Amino acid sequence: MSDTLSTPPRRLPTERPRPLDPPEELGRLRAEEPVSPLLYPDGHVGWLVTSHAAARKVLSDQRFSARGDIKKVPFELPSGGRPWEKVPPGFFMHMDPPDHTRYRRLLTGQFTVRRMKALEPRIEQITEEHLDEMERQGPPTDLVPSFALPIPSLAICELLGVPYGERQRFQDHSTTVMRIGSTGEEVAAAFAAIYGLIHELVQLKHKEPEDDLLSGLIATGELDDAELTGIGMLLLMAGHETTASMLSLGTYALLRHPGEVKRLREDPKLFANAVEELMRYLTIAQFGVPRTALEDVELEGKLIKAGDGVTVSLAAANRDPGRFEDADGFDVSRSTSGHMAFSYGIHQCLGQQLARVEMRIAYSALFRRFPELRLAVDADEVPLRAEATMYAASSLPVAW
Amino acid sequence: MRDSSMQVETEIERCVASGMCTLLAPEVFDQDEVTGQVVVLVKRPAEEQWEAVDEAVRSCPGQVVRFEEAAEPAGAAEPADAP
Repeated sequence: MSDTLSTPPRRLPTERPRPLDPPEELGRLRAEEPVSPLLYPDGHVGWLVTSHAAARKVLSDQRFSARGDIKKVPFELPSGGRPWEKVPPGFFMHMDPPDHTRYRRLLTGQFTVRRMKALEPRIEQITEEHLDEMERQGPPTDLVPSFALPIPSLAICELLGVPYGERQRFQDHSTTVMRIGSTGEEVAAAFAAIYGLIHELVQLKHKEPEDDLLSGLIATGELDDAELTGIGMLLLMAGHETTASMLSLGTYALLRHPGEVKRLREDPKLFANAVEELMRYLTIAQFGVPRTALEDVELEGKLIKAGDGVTVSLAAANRDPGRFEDADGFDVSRSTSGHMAFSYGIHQCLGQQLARVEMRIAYSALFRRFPELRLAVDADEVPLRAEATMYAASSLPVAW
Repeated sequence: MRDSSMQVETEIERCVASGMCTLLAPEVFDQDEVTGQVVVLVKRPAEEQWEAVDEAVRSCPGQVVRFEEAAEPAGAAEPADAP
């Protein structure tokens, strides 16, 4: 086996010459060296995985750990993403089995296809209310604060059982977290405030349980308050920024592909598949998924040593021509089978069925209400969050 | 060659309850109310379901679902179905 470095380690490519395509360098690596040496900001040399096949192998192999306290982060960001000293209780996406298994098992029953379908009428109502408001205000509007941010936020509030009177406070703090100009201190303060709100919410659900997720978790009797608060925090963060980013960037992508919008208008049944294609094409988790080898593993002819960081580029995997025909094309009716935008393996997104319901309802209602929706600025002027863990449009001025 | 002995097998201990199978082939798969884990509704799906079942196999993040010819002669498990 050749484990000599065939290319010198390089930093994670992040430059996007075309805003809707992943960095070109990722495509070259995928073709030439799908498991390639990666230089981490702290000087560590680990690995970057860019092919669909290798990505699937890593994400379904328990020898590659998801632990947040040993992870190596491939990029430097003001907003963090650094390893934890200790993973907080309930943050199971940053844990391995059996800790991860215990939490995830308690939650999976709350996220079934059937339960998410039952939330549809509420999500439709929330969506229509926001479209009504946009219509009242008239064009132009910034779709991010008027549509993309509030709908996922209110959907997750609905799921967690946040009382109506409290929802504005959740949204205000979430907006601070997401706003591009927020300082590190402001973001940290907003996170602390959200943590406090969820802690209060847990106390409320102890006293007055209802038919919602937190009450259901309390009823199992298996989680203490720190764990319940951690889970609530994780679900709020995972369920808000991700879907909000998809709604802003996805609408932007659709507006840049008017032919595809026309097909959707003519056949609205295509929206369900369009959601999958937008997920694949955009892969907003743009810096990939961090893993750490727990033991020596041979992968595609390379020796991954115990302790090595492995960054799995979901964006590169989702554009792998070995897996998807015309992988760089955007086609709302293509087969997206096997896309990895929700990741893969035991950590694959717990809320994916909720995200699908939200996106299908939101995109289809938006283009039904405003069939002539268009950008109110030049496409090149739309500010994109190139440095955020979740790629998104930070503002999306539209008219109709 | 695929024939009517094609049947669905699952390794439930690896199921992470993503719901992909239920989403893709709702006539063949469901999810347990409490755990969210896979429940096979039809062990030997009709041929018109095969494509959806194949898709569910490909999409399962835990590689839990298999669709294959019965290891034992068709009918061993369900004598009433024996040819």
